[in-house]
Amino acid sequence: MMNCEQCRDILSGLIEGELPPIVEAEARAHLGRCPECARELAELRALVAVLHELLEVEPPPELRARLRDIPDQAAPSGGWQRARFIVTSVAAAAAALLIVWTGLTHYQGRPNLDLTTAPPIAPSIAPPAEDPASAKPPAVGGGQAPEAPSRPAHAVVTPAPPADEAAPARPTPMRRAERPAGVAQSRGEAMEVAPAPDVEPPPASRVEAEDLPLPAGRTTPSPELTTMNAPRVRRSPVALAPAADGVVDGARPGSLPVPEPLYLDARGSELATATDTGEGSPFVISVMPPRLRVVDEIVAATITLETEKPVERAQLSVSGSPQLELVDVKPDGKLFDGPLRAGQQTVLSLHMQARAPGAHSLTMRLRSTDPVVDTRLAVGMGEFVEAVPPAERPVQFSFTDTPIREAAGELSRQSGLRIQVAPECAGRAVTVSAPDPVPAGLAVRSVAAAAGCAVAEQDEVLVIEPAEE
Amino acid sequence: MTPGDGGSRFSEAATIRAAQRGDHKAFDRLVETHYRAVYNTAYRMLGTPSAAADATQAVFLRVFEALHSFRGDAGFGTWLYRICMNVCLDELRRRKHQPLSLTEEDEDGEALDERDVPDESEQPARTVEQRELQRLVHEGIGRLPEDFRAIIVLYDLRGLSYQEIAEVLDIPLGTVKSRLNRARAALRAEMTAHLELFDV
Repeated sequence: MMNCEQCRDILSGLIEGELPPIVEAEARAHLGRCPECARELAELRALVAVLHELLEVEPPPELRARLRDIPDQAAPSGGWQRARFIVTSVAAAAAALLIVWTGLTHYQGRPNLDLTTAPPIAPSIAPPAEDPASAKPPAVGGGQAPEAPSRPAHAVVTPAPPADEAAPARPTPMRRAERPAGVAQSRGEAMEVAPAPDVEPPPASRVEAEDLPLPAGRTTPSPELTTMNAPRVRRSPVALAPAADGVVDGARPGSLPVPEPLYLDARGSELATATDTGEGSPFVISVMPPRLRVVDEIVAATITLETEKPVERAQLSVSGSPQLELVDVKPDGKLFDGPLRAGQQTVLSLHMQARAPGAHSLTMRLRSTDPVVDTRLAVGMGEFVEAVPPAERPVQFSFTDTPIREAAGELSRQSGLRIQVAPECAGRAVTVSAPDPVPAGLAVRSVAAAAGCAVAEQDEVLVIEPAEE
Repeated sequence: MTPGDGGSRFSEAATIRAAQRGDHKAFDRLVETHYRAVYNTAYRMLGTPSAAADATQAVFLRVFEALHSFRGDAGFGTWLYRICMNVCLDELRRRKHQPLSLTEEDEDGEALDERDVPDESEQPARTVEQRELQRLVHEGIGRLPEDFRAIIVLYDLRGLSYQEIAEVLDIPLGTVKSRLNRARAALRAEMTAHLELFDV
């Protein structure tokens, strides 16, 4: 026999009518005997009824405008590249591409280069820009050129993931106490990792970090994040790949400083910035992705170089992943060869053309004389998608006695199609549905047919008009 | 489940995909569809229109930033409610143990009860007693512990199923049912002084 406590535990279920019959019968038997529980049930029923009738409140009018501004609040440069602008080489297979070699002998392939005697070399492609804004790339195909950086300071450097980790690693947010002034915190939770196949495989030869010497007093891997302007040598668990021209060779075995892996973080800024954290003066590379997301159209991107101390000579070469053609780059990929002025930005532009949808990457190879830096970076370039004509865009709908204007409006909203309804058809209602996606053009014809009308195309506008007899 | 209208006739899948690709107009369509539901949920959770508006903005900011990670494993509505409840619960924790009161004063000492409560007087066929009862219930919800408040709001006000609530709050299905029973009992206890207004 049910007691009061047991009964009260199931009153909600009784109100909702979801108790097993035998339990409900026991509850009702108890309620018949217990006026207190019966009264509680009645009060609960009344309370639930009031809850169900509680009115919806209308949001304040200004809220809608605030919500409309969210994309601008979240991403001054536009939302999609915040979400999609990616570091391709976080995946283990490509991690080596992101590693910055610091303190390496410069221009190993040209051992005769003598800094004290080498003549000044003029930039071959683009001069250092006095005014970064003047070096902005032109907008192409309606795209808006990204803003030139005022002072890149958004680098976030994280420990590399273990080389055997198949899953993409994400940068660890920098703890407040560890974050130096001017370094933005990574919001790595939104970082996307591009598919690895677009990234060049690392060179065959490798140098394991474990083989490299550690400085005195540092014998264990450091869990902290490293930051720009923080020269340090650290044991890294990731397998390191040498530069393509054989910088990491047997010339100085045992003396190679352990490089820092870099992750580029485009979130929170308009830039992706990489910073040399090794010996020598800080060196900054920032990359701005193209804004357009179309295949087979030429889009512009910007690379900005900045160094704290003058660099007598620097070379930057670039290459695209297999389906990313660099339009105005020489076959050797060389984009810049010349001096870099201290504290000034050298803004380089290049144009690229994706040959297939999907994520692509740009690999940069930077060598310099001073500060010594030998860097190879891979930067995701966002997602390139094919532009689908409005008439082919998928729509889904379910119209039941829906005025044809309303139906046309919904199809237009979903697809971007421009649709007009002739006055003769405007008063009709349609009942037609497409539970699975169908091309918008077909949908318009189906809706028109359901209303006994036809569709004519005039100047890219679909007109629903009376069917010809 | 769709927060916006309880089941839109039109699939959101295409709109979500477009928004994920960076189509701000598509994102705005998602906002348009759902913001009233989010606002009302936040209003009942947080108690005042201004807090609800701030929370709604925070919710859609999070949605915008995390939309690319939405994979459709759960329904968009469930996902949106989960974000909404997280924002509201974060705000409630931030307030610590301050009791919710519609007569609380703002920083200027201005009582909020007249300035910050939506005017429901234009609703048709609502008697003074009905409006008073709704106000009392709203305040009573605000005095409940946050986990009780959440379950009342989601089940009795927003109409989510037990399964959906389990996903939103990340609790077992059985816990949803037992917590609803206890939450309703707690709300009834809160309303004891006003039971004469109920149609018992």
